[in-house]
Amino acid sequence: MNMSFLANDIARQVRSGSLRAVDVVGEALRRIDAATDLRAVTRRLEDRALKEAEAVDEQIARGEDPGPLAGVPYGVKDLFDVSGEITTAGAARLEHASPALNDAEAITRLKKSGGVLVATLNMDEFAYGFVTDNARWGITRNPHDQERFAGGSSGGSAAAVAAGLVSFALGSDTNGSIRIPASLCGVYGIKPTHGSLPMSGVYPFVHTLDDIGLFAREAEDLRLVDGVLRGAPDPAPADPRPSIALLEGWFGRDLTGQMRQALHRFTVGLGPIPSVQLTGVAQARSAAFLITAFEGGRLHRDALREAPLSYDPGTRDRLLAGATLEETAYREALDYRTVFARQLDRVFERHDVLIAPAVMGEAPRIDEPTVMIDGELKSARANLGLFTQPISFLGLPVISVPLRTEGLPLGLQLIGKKGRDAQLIALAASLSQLGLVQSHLLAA
Amino acid sequence: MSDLGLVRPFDCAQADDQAIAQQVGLLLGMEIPEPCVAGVAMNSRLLADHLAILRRSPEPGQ
Repeated sequence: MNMSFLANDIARQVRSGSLRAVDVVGEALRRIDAATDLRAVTRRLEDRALKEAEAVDEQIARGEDPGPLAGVPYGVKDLFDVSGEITTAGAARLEHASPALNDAEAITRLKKSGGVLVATLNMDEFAYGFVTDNARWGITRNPHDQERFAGGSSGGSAAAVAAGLVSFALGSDTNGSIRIPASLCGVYGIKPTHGSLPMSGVYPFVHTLDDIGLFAREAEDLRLVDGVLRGAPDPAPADPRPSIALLEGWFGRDLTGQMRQALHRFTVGLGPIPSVQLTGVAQARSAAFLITAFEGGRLHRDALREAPLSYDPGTRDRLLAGATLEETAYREALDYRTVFARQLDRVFERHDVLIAPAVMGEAPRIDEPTVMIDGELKSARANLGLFTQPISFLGLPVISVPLRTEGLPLGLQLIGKKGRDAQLIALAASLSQLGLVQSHLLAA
Repeated sequence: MSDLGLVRPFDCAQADDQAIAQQVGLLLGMEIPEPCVAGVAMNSRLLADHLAILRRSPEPGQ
């Protein structure tokens, strides 16, 4: 069926009565069933989805408005509580845990606005990784080249949106887990200002850095869903012509030829923009790494003592090492964050938005799970966050937008001041209208 | 929160996989299973490297 899966399109048609929500759900489930080789979906929630869609259609029949997401199908990373379902956080060891009693707050808000939850989505175990290589649910494949990673840890969410299985998807981002898969799959992904979206009912990883966020097929869909998740559209006035600067130095290293070309085309299209070199980015990335290892390790320490082999090997050994990290190192990392944040505050006195690549290049091949850093091949699972970790470490809002490319998708980070999420979304929409960014979507 | 105090650059730089895993096990009060030894050692060294970077003087552009 040739049905647009843009959230704005579906909601408009369902609210006008020209499209039934149950038909949209039927199409989403058909697409999910046809794309099992992607390993993006961990559970299809057919009964729940049909029930929610029928409720939307009944509201329309009664002349009521189901809300701004009427009949829009979406999925959630498998660390959001879904009432009656087990929250696995991507872990086989939680596969037989007790089901959640309630929906996560974010899902509650989406449901109240007419959204229809159709699936839970694959992830790196406990969100500790950048590739979505999961020992229990498999490796999520990149829809644009199934021999390549989708990125992670919210890889199932990005792949499901890029492949048109759902209109949008929720994910989480601690060190880049939304921005990296959004970049590699060619869709929009937002990591909001830290603490600005509800974390209730979300399986934790690193409380100092964790945020939920979303993936969408267009910037306008990002605006629509972000508004619902906040409880109301963000009232922050959007400056139509923000001052933009390009981050160089650390953020210009190790780029592939394709990324250099795409970035050059983008900056030429944007017109002359100043560049900024930060000091101490290496320390910022290492601090983020250490905070993550410390908090993640402490969270899992008791369970690791009890049954270490019940963990995914890809996360287990990282968590075990982190569980022994000294607290003084953790404190040093937190202290450095304060120093680094002051530097960014000064930069944001001169510029509204900073831009930087989300990743070094296109998605790594699954049979070569490495990235080149300073001439050395290093693990993609641990190192794809080279450009994302120093930014989210500060709690800043960031959108990964898909650059225009002829080849595999490449993403660019739009980095804003805290609380200026709406300005970033407006900028992403403006860049899309100018043709400087464009999502890479599969015809489902 | 206790300070377990393992991961310091001099600890990991001088030790082999078995020694690092043994020390991790001692600090956690468990025996590190054989399949975990190489990964635990590699990740301990990685954290030690990051701690060393954090403690270095920041450089412009880096």
